[in-house]
Amino acid sequence: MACKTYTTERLSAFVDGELAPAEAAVVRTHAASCAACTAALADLRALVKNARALDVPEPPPTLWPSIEGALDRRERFGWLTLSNWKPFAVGAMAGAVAVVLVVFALPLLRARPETPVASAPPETPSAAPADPLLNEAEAEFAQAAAAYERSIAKLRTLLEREEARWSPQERGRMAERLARLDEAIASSRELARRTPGDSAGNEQLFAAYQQKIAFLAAAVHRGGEAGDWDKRGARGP
Amino acid sequence: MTSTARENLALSAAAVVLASVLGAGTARAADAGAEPLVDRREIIVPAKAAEVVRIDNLLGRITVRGVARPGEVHIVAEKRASTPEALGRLRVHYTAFQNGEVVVETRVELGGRERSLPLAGSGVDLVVDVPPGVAVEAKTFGGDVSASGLRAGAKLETTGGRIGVSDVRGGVVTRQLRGGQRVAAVEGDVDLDGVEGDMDLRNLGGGRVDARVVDGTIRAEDMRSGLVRLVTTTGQIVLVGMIRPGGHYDLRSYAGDVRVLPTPETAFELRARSPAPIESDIPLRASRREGDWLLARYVGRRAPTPARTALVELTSVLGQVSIQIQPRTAPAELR
Repeated sequence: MACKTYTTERLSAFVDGELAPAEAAVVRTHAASCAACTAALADLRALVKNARALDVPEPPPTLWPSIEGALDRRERFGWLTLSNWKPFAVGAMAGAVAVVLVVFALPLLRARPETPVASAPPETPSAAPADPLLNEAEAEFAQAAAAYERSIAKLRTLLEREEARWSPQERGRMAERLARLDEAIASSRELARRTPGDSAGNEQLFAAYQQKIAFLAAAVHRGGEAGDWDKRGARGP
Repeated sequence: MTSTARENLALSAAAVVLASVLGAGTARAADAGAEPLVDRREIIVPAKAAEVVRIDNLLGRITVRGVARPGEVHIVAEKRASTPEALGRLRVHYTAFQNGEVVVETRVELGGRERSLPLAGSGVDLVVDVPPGVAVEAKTFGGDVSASGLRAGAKLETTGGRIGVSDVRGGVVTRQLRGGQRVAAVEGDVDLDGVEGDMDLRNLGGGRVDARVVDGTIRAEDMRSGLVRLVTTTGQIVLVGMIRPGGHYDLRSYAGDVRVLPTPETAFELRARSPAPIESDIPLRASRREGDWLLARYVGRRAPTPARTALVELTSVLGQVSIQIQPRTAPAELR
């Protein structure tokens, strides 16, 4: 059953918040009394929600190092073993594919044939921050990012204490992994910078920070308890 | 979106209700000074088959209470902003799906689009009363998030707000950047994660308690779960109260002290490690060293039953480990 008043494309634009407030209100009122539209909106919202969930998966802290293939194959930490992160890597790849689909396919599906592309210019970072509410949001994100950076700096200081006891090879491996985590943070930060007003970029950035913090905290604890961060046997006698 | 793609969607909803808590009809401005404009609205959402309520409010606080009648979700939304124009751009939506999911979301209109963003000067605070039997997921950015009176668990997430949980049955999961957490009276598995901020845990039962914080102290009292794992990097860990017979307590701090002040009843096997000598005023038996570890046994005041002996593991890499038996009721300064 399809509604003759609103096309799927208009409903999709409504769900994505792309309609003008006045038109959105009309759609909202109409949907309350139109079974076809309420069902369609539910489907669309479910799709967006599922896509968001894929956009920010909750991977283990070892995800980035594992994806980038830097981990040694021999077993180190219990939670860093290959068998532990393999399922997450598969999920992450599926998530990445889904994100690509969402980012590139949904806009195409939504595009109205009669609408010239030029009539809907993409938002540009330079134009958006003029809105005071957007400035507020960006300030909030910046504060959170600063808090993550502070925690990372603290952990880095603690890790340096442990690293002093490690071999050059161990320090090299740790530096390599941290560099990859930093790359993930840098690319996420760039995404967030390019999309002001879109929380997805910042959520990805925060997820990258969380991965680094979890990795550093685990390395600090393991290093301190074992005296050697990538050797097993730290759990006790 | 193509019809094929839509047909492939697993989730179907026959009943969707969208509402917008809009308008400035009830907005009241305080003095012309610094106080913001406030617009308060209440909605009762009919949700007869509600099984889970998801609340996404990056614009402010969330308070969830399991006090609503079955089949209803009661939402009180209070919007605040410095100007009527900004107030009118704050939105609250709810959607009740046929599959038992109720979604409450707040948005701010920016550039003709509604977005989920945190704001510093404007915002929306939500008080959501749900039937006790529904599961709750709630997410804020800078606002506090709390849940109480729930009987099917809760998952709470915030970036900069405080987390509060009390009187909950079912699993509790929290994720937080900073702000501190207070979790009390939970019967279910508890999984807490924080970066900055202290954790205060009291009277937790269930299968396990797993609490991790990077920069903060964890204080836990009367942990009755089978497995209690508390880990902090720079803070202290203090465990007060009863040790559950047969329980496993694993407490670790990298830079802070680990203190255990148990009541005397329960026998436990002790494994402790710290750079300084372990401080203990309890009668330990079979004490011996194994590497850096001190191994010993404490025979509780109950008749020792090997199968019911608890295991207490205490580790501090840079700090101190201490154990002091407390009377049955902990002194006021420790509570």
